[in-house]
Amino acid sequence: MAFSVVMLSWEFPPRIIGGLAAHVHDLSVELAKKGVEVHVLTPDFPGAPKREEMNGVQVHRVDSYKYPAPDFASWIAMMNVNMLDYACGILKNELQKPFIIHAHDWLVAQASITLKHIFRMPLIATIHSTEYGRRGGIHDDYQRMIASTEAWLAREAWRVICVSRFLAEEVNRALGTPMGKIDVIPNGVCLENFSSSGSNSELRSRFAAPHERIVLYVGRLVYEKGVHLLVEAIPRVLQSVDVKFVIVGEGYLKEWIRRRVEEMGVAHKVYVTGFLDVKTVRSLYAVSDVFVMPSLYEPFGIVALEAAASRLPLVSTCIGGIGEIVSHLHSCVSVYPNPDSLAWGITQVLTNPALAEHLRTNAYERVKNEFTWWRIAERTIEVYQGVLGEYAAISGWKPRV
Amino acid sequence: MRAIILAWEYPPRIIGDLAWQVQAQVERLRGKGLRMEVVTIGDWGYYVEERAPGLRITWVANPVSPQSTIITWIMGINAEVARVVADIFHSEPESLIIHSYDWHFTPAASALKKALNIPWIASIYSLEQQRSLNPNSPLSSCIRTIEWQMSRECDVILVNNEWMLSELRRNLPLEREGVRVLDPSSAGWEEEVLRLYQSLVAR
Repeated sequence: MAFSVVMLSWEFPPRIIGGLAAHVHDLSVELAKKGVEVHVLTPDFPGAPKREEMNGVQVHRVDSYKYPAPDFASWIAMMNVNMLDYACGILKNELQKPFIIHAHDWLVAQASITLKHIFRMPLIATIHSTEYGRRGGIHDDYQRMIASTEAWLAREAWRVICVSRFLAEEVNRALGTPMGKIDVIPNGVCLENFSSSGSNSELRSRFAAPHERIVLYVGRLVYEKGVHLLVEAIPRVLQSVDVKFVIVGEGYLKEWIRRRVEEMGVAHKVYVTGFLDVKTVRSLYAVSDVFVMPSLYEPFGIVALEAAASRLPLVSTCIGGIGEIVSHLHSCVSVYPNPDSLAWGITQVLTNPALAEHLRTNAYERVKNEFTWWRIAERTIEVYQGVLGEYAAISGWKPRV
Repeated sequence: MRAIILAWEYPPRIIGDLAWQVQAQVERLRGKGLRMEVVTIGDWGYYVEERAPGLRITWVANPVSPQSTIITWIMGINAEVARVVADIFHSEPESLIIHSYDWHFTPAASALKKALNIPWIASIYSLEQQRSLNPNSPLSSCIRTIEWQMSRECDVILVNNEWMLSELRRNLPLEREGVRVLDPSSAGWEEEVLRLYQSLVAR
């Protein structure tokens, strides 16, 4: 059955805030390769064209609302107003019916749900994380509002896709979504985008002396990612191995990290790079010696896939969805979420070349077999086709025009 | 022909004078034989009321609770309003017109017009510039942006008097035709509105 898909996402390259941008991009491109007509609606970004075809995907960048708003949720609401208004024209004039409306997270709930009812086409929601999980519970009315929006999206969706079994159980528990309505489809990675050549010596020399090893962290600098545990582990690692720590990403802990490494007298061993472009990050994977993922909450953990695709050994707390990708002493070193345990794991990998080789080989094989976008897109199409089959069978809820 | 009235207040939900104004106009149009569908906010959840022959009121509640600002609050309700109007359209799409009052349901009305070709008239009773003590505040900026969308996207703007028309010209980028002054207190108001509805539906 021929069909098209309209994806709604608040981030899409080059607008990259977290892992969502890469997910929506890679999934859309792979769906397009399989012959699905894909339109992505996303907020605009300075310098990016309003509309373009990107690897077979029609990308529409909508006015993100640039006046002041009282708070983030109000800005999101205004962004949704613009997205809805634009989408009505695209869905009416450019998409062939039937089409699937595919929403990614609560940030596009309002526009996606309205489109579903106006056009009477099925809505599928991918939930990448929950407010309950991100905050370790719901503690105030603002968080309650976001959780309520997530529950609304999950209720309105025909099917809900979660990126891990861990997240599916959380969505079931926190949002009340029946398990029978949830499909678990993990994130994927494009292996060809990552190489393990390690030949980029110019890049390596920018971050470390020839005798130094590189410990890499890539992720948002926020509490839930556990980056503060890594910072506290740095002096312990330096007691036994000569390394440079490269911490890539942005977040509210950035200045704290800079202050803390100064206080500990290890600032000369740490680079806090801030945001780096995708190409540089991929090259860093290739020249590093160990990847650290000290997360305290991780519904999936796409950077674990990227490290594995780069044949970079992983040390991780294996919390949440990470444990569904890798396992202890097979494809990672699993540690407890505290600085001592983290330092132990990093040291193990750096001082035991046979272990490092064992981990990188197993992790790469697992990712190659289970987590390629080709495979993920195939499973997503199965969900689309299942929904469209059910949609075709119902009689009452169909558009009149 | 059916007119779908979108108003954020309707008796017994009375916030200001608008509830009474809208009710009076609905009754006068119903008196002309129009089937009236009022879609409004009810804090008691989704509820359909057949109040009188030819007058159905659909009360919608916010699907999300609590809310941080009036912007997040009204946008959740807009999604529900769009759902109800889309249901009306898909059950009987012929000869429909949307008539909204003030800014609140602009996102829903604009989307319904674009997607389903339902003509849209916007009655404007007041503007954020007049209501707000600080019209340049972030909150008022959002509301003013929605008022701009309303003035840009609707088919016809209705105001009650020349003063309000001058206020519109002063506060909105109103470079368009299709702004009408119709005084609801005048005799024959309902015939004028009915003719306007018919001309838009016939387009």
